[in-house]
Amino acid sequence: MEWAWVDALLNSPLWLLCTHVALLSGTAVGGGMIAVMPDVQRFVVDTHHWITNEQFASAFAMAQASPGPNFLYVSIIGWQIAGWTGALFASIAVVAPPTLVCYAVIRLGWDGSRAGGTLQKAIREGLVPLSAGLMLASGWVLASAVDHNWRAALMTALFVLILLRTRLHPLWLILAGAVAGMAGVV
Amino acid sequence: MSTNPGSTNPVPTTPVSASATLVGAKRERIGPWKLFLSCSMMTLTGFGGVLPFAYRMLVEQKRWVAKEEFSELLALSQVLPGPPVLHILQMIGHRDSGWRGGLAAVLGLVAIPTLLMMLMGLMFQQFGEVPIVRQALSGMSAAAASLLIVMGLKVTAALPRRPRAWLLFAAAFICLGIARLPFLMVIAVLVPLAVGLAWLAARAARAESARARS
Repeated sequence: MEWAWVDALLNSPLWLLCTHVALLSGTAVGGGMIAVMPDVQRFVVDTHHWITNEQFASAFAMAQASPGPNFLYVSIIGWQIAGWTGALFASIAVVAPPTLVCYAVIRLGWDGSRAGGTLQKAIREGLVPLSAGLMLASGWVLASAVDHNWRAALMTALFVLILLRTRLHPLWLILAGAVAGMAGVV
Repeated sequence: MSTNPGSTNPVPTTPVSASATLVGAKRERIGPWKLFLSCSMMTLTGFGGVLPFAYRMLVEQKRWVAKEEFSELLALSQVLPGPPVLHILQMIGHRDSGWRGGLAAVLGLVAIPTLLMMLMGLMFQQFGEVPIVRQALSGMSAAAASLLIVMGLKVTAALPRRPRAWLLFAAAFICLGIARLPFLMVIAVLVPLAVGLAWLAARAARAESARARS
């Protein structure tokens, strides 16, 4: 009986979220936490029903609209699931594995002299197409989660064109999206 | 996540003065505290991808690393799991003051933004159900989706024109985006495949050039 708390911990949403996120961020080659976004969404929305698609998309949009690394969207999801501790531990879960990997790479001496070796080149060359596919998949998944009607889909498409054609800062488009949303356009 | 979809190039290639490109020039030790503060200041200006801002701070403003050094660190960080900007800052911090420096740089990158995310979460809890806020957020989400798509399109457009790259690209997109397979499963199959093929191609090219020489 006195171990019941361990059981409760191991089955708590916070623990499950953090272990899943840590596993992903420790293996997220070629695109980081953006590339694993579809997986995070599947885990918290489809598998565990902790939050809705709308909450997930909102968390992502809020992270895009605030300063700091975009991968911290996971921290807002942590907040939605388990409050302050959720946000804190989700951040730690995202940051700790890559930091440890990087530390190991530094200690092994792979961070300087051997840069540009054949294997490293092969890894980089192999990862680029994957990373492109993963990022586009993330965009596709988010778009299909948020664009419920043709007007929203049209706005996403329009913004894609604007970003490709102009050098407008992305923040302006987030703002334009907010205004369009408030005006009831999308 | 570190590319800025608003600009054509993730890392601005503004010319730097000669003094910044002096590799091996005598540098003063920065120290963990200053690393933490500098990274915090930098990350708080970083909207829509921190990497270009890290470049500006490290190479152009503070001149802690030369342009070429930054490119090398970026190339290395792209083969490590996780966000490239984190690895770059950690490696620079570590070079300066050991693991404390690396940790200070990473904490600088994420500590204050994490507090901001908590604030965002709190505001979402308070006002997330208010109709006008909900509408604004759904508009913002549609915009955020376009940022991601553009990021993906830019990397895609830069892919080498060879069938191997496009097949791998399509496989990654279909597995994650359409079939919605688990990330780990997809990565466990596609990464060894992609790296193996690139390795074999590099070896074949080397053998080819050796034959041409002899």
